[in-house]
Amino acid sequence: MYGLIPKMAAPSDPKKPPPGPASRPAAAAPAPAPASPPARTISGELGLPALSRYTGPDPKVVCGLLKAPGPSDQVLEVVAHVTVEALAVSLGPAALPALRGPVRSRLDSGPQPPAGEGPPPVGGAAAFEMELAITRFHDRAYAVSRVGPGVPLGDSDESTVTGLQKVAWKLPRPC
Amino acid sequence: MAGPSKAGPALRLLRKGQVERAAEMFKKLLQQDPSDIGCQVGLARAQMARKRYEDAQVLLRQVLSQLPDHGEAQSHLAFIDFQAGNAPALDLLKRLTLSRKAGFFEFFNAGTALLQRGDDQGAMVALERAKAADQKSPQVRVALGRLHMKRGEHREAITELQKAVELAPSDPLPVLLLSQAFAATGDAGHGADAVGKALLTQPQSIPLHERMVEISLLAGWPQKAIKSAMALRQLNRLNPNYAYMHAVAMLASGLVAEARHILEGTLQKEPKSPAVRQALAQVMRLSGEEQKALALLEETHQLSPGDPGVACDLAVAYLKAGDPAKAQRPLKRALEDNPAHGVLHYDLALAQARAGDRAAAKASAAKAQGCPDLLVSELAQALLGTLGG
Repeated sequence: MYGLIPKMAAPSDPKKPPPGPASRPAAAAPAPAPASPPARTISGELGLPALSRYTGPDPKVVCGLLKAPGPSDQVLEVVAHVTVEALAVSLGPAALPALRGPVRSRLDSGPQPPAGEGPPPVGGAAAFEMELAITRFHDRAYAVSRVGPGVPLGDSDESTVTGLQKVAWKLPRPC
Repeated sequence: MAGPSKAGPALRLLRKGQVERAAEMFKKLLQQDPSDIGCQVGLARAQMARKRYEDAQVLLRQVLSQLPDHGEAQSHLAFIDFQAGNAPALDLLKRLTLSRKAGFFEFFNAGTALLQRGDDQGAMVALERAKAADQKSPQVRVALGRLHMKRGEHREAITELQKAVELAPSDPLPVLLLSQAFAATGDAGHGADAVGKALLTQPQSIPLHERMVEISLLAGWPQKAIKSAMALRQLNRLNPNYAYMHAVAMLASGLVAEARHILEGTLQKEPKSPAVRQALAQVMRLSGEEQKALALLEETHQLSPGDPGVACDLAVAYLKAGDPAKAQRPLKRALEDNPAHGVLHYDLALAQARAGDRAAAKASAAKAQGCPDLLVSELAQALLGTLGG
């Protein structure tokens, strides 16, 4: 299901002149046309080469929550248990499976740094910080609240109908 | 008193979230009529939304010089005082909510301050009244939802947060909180549905894709997790965490060879990561390379003796080799760093029971029983039953 997934080639810019002699400065020596780049695929980063076929058992993964989520957790502490071929530990007449180490769903699961003190973002993207997002969302209440300022707003009242439209509405209709 | 306010158009901009433009318009209007109370209040709101409390204070005092009983202005000033560490300001905030004229901001400011003070019951009352004053405020719904979650009232939290999602459809925050509430009730499927809907309108949102990977895995839908993990890798190709998430989603989907390939690539970028090493050891074992996996785990345990996953895998290997005493060592060491880790307690209980120490095994199994992971809690309960607990 997951082979080489081609990405759409970037569309050419219609405002750019096409490469060719007309677009080169007259004095410049004719340079060989650059080799066209290979079609962009995600094989380098996301695609997979042909892999040898896996013939082992289905891992039978069961996922669970390591910790009950709190009201402002940045992540859900999800873990994956590979349950196939579990070691049965004999305890007298009964036997129970030993659990292999749960595989965490992300690398940075664990104690989160305080808001604003996280590690620098990887790859240039701004890191999302839950506490900061909650504070910003809360503060927006002062801007977006629909309650009035407690004073009459007169002509510039808050309905979408303009003053002119209101006057027009009151005018007698033409016969 | 002066004539009617001209604040309407600027207020409309403010309500659309165009805070900067609204502030500029309010300032221009105040140049024309410095006594326009509507504009003073509007600009003060814009400054509070930007946390420019000092600027807001000046405007609010101007309002009170004209209308000394203006409830909203008094409430904002008291709230700013409270934020500055003036605890008695909370009394004024509470008193303002008792007025018959009290409106949304009197309740909202009091509720927020009470939450910060840790008075959850008082905050609940104030925020419920704020909700009654403005049914369409997503901020109040989020505050109430978080408060219900804190109190373990997950159903009520879900109701409030679902409304917040409706009222603020372009913000990822309410959906993230809603999915947390669903996960806490064991209904990860509905959480994944909510995140999936939000991704239709916010397809580039990194926090939403991150949550989608987690909650889809929890719901048992690894294909959705794979899709979001791939989206994350497209959005940020340099982040090794996203490659790791992709590998875990592949493993959960049964694609072991593909998971191994991604993990080997991630290990080159994060050579000391115990999570990557442990996951890689698991796929090696699945591929029949037991000795290679054990060597990798032992080396990783030396590097990160407190890692719970590695400790459990080592303990299982030692139990398999018939050495329950040796199995207990990595588990006890990892419990020093992770005292509430359910799987560590469960495996330790098994090793203790196998070594003949039933009392210690019962105590460990009882600790594992409280784990929110259903697989662990059910096995711990079965173990307690076997041990006669």
